Amino acid sequence: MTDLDARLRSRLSRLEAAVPIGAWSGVPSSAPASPVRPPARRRRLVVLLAAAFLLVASAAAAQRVTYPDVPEPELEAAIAHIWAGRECVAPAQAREAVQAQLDRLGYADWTVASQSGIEEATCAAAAVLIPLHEVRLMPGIGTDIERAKDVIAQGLLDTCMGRAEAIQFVGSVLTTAGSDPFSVRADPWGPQGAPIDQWDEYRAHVAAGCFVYVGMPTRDAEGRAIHDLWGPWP
Amino acid sequence: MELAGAISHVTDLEAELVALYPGLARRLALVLRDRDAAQDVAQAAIARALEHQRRFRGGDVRAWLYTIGLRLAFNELRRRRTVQARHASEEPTWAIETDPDLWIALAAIEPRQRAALLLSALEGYTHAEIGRILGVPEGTVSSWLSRTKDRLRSILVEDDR
Repeated sequence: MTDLDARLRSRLSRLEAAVPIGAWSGVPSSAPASPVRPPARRRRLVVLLAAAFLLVASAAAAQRVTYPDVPEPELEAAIAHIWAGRECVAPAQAREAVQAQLDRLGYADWTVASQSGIEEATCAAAAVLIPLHEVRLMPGIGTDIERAKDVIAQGLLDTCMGRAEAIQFVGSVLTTAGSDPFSVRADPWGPQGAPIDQWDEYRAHVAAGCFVYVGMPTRDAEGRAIHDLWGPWP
Repeated sequence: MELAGAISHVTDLEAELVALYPGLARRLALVLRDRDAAQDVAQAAIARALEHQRRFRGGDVRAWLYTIGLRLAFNELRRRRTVQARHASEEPTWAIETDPDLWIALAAIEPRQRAALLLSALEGYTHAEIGRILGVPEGTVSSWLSRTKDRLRSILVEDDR
């Protein structure tokens, strides 16, 4: 240790010792302290490698939203790194690797959850669901755009997403599926649409304040796909 | 016997975590530059560690707790930036009365680098250990520490005067 290091240590110790700290008050383990919660809670969804049936347990999940909506860039990067450069990560391998990253980064209160269908899947994908403190493993969708559209439609029906979340979700799934350049539109004046046999379901979902996927993307002047969302009037 | 051993281990861990509270809170006060927030975050960190103590795989409890506590602290700092609900507050009396130059100099250092400095100077953790706690490569820690010490050098040499 150099002389400078010793001085630094001494002065830091003195400064730290001066911090007046009260006694441990025994916060119940089920009630984390409040300052890490934001005043306004909204769902935030980060899909790293989107997959089918992203939010099947939507109703239950919505009720479990109790954690602050703060960015988790280190975790997202660490999870993305597991899939980097690999065409396929087997579900068991993914679970082990994700848990290892959670442990390494100190995310003790996060869990690795499995979406239905993961047991039969050859490859897994993962979504970091910040409000739930959960990394969810799901069957991979590969590069199938049609399947990605089904995932989007179902995912938006399964979970009530606001405008921003829905746009983020659609963009993430399409990007992961390797879509050509596209845009996502949630224009109040835009098209409204639904599969004929689900018309009532879609309309009720929109009436409840949620966005749905219109399907049948159109093209802009440059030939890029426009994916429309139908949602409540702002 | 195995069960008794396991129960004893859990009880010991709980006691150890609670005993670490004051130190963690003080450490976080220098990272967050806010004593009240530091106390809340430290309590949240210990609560979460207690709740998930089965995840602890042995080894350095302090490092495990600091990993959780610092993550929550950085989240808190990010949240503050996001909601911008907090106004600049006055400097705390305890800091100004103890070492105003150091307190002000520390303010100019980015929070993660400040945390790395504290873990190095006060805990004696290696760069690799700090990297694991903060979730950054060892080389990054080395670079941070080199820069932060350079920035603090001017106020440290004043000791000679």
